[in-house]
Amino acid sequence: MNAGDAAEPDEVWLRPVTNETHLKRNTVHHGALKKWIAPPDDPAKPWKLEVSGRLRSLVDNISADAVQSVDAQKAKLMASGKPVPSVLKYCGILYSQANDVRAIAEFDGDVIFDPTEDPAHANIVIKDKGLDEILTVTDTLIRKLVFLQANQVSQNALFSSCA
Amino acid sequence: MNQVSQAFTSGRAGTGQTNITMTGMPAWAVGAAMFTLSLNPLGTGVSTLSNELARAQQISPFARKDGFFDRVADYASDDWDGDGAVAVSADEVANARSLLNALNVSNPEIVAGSDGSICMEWIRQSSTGEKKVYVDVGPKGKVLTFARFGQSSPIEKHFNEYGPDVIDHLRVLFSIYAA
Repeated sequence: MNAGDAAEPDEVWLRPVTNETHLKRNTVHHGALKKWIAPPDDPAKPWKLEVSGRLRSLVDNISADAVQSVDAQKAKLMASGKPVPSVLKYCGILYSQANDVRAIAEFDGDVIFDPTEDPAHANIVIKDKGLDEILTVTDTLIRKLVFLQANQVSQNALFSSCA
Repeated sequence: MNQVSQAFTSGRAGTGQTNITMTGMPAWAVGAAMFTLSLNPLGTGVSTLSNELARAQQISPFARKDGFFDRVADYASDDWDGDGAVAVSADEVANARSLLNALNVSNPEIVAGSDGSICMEWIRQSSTGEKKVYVDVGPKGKVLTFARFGQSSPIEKHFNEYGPDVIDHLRVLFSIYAA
């Protein structure tokens, strides 16, 4: 797969949740997505918003990567002498199959491979809604993305090979 | 104690308590807050809207994350999450408290947004489906509002600054939310 390619229909976009205060019963607070949704850096891209995440097929170990990421956040805070919030931890993942993203009626979305320093990086892109409707997009994503708690990821058939 | 700390520790919005943070609060908001204080507290059986919201809170124990304003100093400096988050400013805290006091609604679920915003949400189930209201205060003085009531189309409106028009708009939304 090349950068800019659309993900295969059965590919899975996922995003670890790493702040415990963002958790709700079986989803996350809308504020959790603030970190992930933004207009593309390149305004020439044919979409208005993108949601940062990863492709399952390119991740070796979801949990290990998430824990490592949280550890890096904590280390950065400690190095700067700041308190380390106890709520920073790997809590689980939000995910959706690419096909399901494309089937969302509330917006025109897709999943696009976009490798960065993370070779598995991919975005859910929203073509027809911009910053003026960011909470509408956020709410739609919260209802459509599936949340799996950290201890359930390895038990899910979609992730058993890379949990 | 500096101004930021004072704003973070004085008063507690949405609890029916009478202490009001004055930092950065415009005169109209003080008036609105004083009017609010004249109302009966939540759950007394006098105000339908208040009782409905109090009941919604009782139904949803996860809605009781009311400690945000006790913890908000944790978000007072940049990079509070070790991942580039923007600090939540004292002005945004004051605006959020003022807004909650003016509305006199149940405690929302509140989290800090990584962009420096204060993200609040109210969700309840009703006979017509799920009802929800989102209000994001900040950054840079802006207020973003969103509501969805059952299967109706979402209502999203952004304001460049916190003021009476924000409260007026939210009062309309919460009247539908409670209905």
